[in-house]
Amino acid sequence: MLNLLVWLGVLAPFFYIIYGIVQLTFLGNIFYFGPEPGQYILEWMGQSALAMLFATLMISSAHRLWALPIVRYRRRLGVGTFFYALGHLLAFAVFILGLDLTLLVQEIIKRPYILVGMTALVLLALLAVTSLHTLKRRLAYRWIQLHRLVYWVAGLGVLHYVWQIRDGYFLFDFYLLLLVLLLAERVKAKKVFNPFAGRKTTY
Amino acid sequence: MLIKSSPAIKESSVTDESVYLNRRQFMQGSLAAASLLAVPFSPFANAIEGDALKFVKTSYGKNDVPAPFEVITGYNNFYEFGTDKTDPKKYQGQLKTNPWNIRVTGMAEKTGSFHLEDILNQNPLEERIYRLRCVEAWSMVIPWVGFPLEKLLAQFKPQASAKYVAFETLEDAKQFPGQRSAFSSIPWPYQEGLRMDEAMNELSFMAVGLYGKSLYTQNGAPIRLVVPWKYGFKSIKSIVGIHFTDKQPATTWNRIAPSEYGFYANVNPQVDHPRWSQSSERRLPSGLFDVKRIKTEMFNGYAEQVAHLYQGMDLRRNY
Ligand code: HEM
Repeated sequence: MLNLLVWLGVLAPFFYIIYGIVQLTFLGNIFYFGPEPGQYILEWMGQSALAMLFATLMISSAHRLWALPIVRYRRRLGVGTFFYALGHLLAFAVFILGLDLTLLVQEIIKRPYILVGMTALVLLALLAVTSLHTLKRRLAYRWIQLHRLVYWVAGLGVLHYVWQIRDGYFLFDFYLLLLVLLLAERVKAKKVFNPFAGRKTTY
Repeated sequence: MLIKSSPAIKESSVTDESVYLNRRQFMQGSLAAASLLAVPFSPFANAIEGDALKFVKTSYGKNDVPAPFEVITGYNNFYEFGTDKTDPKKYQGQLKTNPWNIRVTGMAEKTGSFHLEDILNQNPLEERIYRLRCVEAWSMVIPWVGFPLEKLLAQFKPQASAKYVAFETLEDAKQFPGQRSAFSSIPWPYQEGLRMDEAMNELSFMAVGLYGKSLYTQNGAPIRLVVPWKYGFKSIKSIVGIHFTDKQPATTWNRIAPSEYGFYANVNPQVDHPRWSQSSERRLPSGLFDVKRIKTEMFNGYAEQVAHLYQGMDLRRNY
């Protein structure tokens, strides 16, 4: 039951986009996503990625704090984060830039906030690939070290987000506060013995 | 080019005959309006948004295709109502646009508080189809109804020493949800300004309607500025204050982020916004796969009418 709900949660933002695209391309509802559907999808995908990223981090903290049996869903949310971030980049390249790749490269180099987003996305890709079970086992302790980067991704994601805001800081304030709380928890988390490292560490 | 460009209006011309005539009409009109006070009637007093207006068509923008009405009235940057482009339409009902007064202050002979109807009664309306280029790199074609700003300002007899004119939007947190927001960094009220010669340019326009109807609140009812060669944020909405001054007035976005939004804010494809390129724009409405990305033109394509205003100026520094 919970399993199904988590699947729905991860996929709902994607289904919504598909539903909207069907509405505006096939059902004549041309302004379903407003007069700039590409921009709408771009923002929706970015917000979904950020929300899912923070859900992932909250699972880690909840796991450490209360040993809730939800850590098994963390991987799904993490991969979901990457999926939406990739969709966000694709929306930018296809709907906003009209697949003009030189323009894309130009934008990535010229706009610091996009460079920050790109960095976050590259890190996310690394994390998504290494979340494959075989790789995870092979990497062992280094997997844990590597996946700590997710906190950097969160920091970069929030920076990327606030950098493009013109006004309206509610969500930014919310994510910033959440990030501070999650980091504090992470830093204060109880260390346990790790057989691979041969010393105590935080999972 | 369909639009004839008229010579620059010099300071001395503030008192030329046509304006003088205008002034007389203004005073006559005020008298007429005063006499009407007994009978509460005025073509605008009872106007609600969407009422059909009487106006003449002009050749401005004859070749441009206006965006659909629902796009123009449903996709707005009007942060007084919220930062989402759908917020203005959602919350527009909270603003009461009637009755409406405009306070005129500063270096002019006729200052004070004016009823909107009294101002409107002086000015026959015309339709002008203008391109609106937002600083966010999208644009729309809008068929405005209104009258030249020059005519409005002349009614107040600006003094020769007035080099700038500043405008202010209503500040009232009770009516504007965006002004109540604790998460906004905007110092209300919203303020904008023009150099006097810019304001007197033939293109500068006061809009009270679009698509032949009086303005919807989300578009800046009951009266707003339209300066089509500048980024959209210069075209201040729901104006309650006009101030004549000899100093360059503070403008809101410039105060928030001076490196991103200048006082002039002329549409200029060569000067990028620090966070995005201004060399092209998305013409709205745009489809999902056919993004109408077009090249942005210098002064939004109005160079013929306005380029002379900036001769000898470094537009890279005066962005
Ligand atoms: C190559 C990588 C990326 C590119 C090119 C990119 C590009 C963009 C662009 C162009 C915008 C819109 C700015 C505007 O409309 O002014 C944006 C907004 C945003 N991006 Fe990214 N981004 C990238 C990566 C990311 C990542 C990894 C995340 C999240 C983890 C993210 C989250 C967001 C969010 C939340 C917004 C704000 C959307 C809104 O306006 O509500 N982006 N990004």
